[in-house]
Amino acid sequence: MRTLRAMRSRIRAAKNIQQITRAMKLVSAARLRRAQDRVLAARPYAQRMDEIMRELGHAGDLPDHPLLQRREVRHVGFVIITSDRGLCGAYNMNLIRALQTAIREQNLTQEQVCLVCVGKRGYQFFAKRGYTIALYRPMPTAGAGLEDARAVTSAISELFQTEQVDRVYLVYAHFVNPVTQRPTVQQVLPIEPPVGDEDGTREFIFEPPAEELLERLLPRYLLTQVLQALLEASASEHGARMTAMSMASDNAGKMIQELTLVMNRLRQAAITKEIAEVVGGAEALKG
Amino acid sequence: MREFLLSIVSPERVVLEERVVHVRLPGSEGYFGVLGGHAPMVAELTYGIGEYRRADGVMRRFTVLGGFAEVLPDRTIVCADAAELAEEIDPDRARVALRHALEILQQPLSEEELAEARLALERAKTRLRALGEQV
Repeated sequence: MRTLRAMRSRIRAAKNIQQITRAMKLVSAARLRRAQDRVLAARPYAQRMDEIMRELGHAGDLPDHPLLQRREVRHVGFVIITSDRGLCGAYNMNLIRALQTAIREQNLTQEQVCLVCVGKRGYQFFAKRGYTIALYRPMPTAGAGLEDARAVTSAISELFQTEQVDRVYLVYAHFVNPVTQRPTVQQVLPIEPPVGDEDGTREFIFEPPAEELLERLLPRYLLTQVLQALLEASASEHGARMTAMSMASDNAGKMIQELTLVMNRLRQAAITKEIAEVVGGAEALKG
Repeated sequence: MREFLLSIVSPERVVLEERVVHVRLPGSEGYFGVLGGHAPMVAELTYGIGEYRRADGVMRRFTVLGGFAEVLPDRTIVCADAAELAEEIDPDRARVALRHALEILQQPLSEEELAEARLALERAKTRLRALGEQV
């Protein structure tokens, strides 16, 4: 039975929710702007690093380095970057699904998978399902930074060099624009220099000698990739949350409108009924 | 003189992207100069002052605080840990940083703190040198 009082309290509830979602939307918008500035400013550096590695691919045989070592793949590491908090639409679920798809496509059993989780959502999901989790770090609200990238990088380098995993992927949301995030699965270990479009090898001068140089360059390259993924993820998260909250606010508005309409109709009906009763009573007395 | 593209980027931003005819960079094994058509090279960089010259003769200085450079015949890419053009440096801030680093070095420090303070000192000195000051 829909009473006027029940309707009023439902409208009040919808208004409260709208207030919260609107506030969250504003907060996300502010955070998004900061995160977006950071990711866009950091991209050229990451791209130039890529370019250096691509050119090095032309240098012919590089000296052996532990991070370049290709092995038969028995165990695979995934770094999954999600958010700590919900209320950001399908953001986390899309990433979790991207990881599950990757596991399925490579025909991996649960024992062959080792995870590094940044962000509570991904961690909770996979921990509950009994996956091995080598490292868990929360996703800082202010956006991930160099500290986080260092921790993740050292964890995956260690796992890879001790042969606990033979390959490592990053799973994160690439920031396309505030309303679009593309879940991305990207191999980072072993480091395979990106394939260039031109063929042929070139003689490179290395200073210091190649071995020593790679010793410094490769870890730096790995760190850059991880950091970039974290920055992309931060911006994507705030973008997703802003979109979700904006939609929630709109929906709450629509709901309030509909409920108000129904409530007014109910009120009108009640008034009409009362008038009819009064008129009916008066008629009866007259008779 | 052959022109080539000089691109200096740091993790925070693009510092410089310009056509130049010559650039000098602080390699970890010593300074080296690059002209257009240089043989392919990858080099590690250390703290130091770089300098480039454009075809119109304009010369500018910049700081490089570690990183890597790749030299190709038609372009030179510098991926610096940090870099700035000399005119972007705030001399007062660098001087404060220098004094601060020297003060810290007076105190008893753990190995890590010591390394950190020495780097800070080097950074401040590099910046001031880029402005032509003696430190």
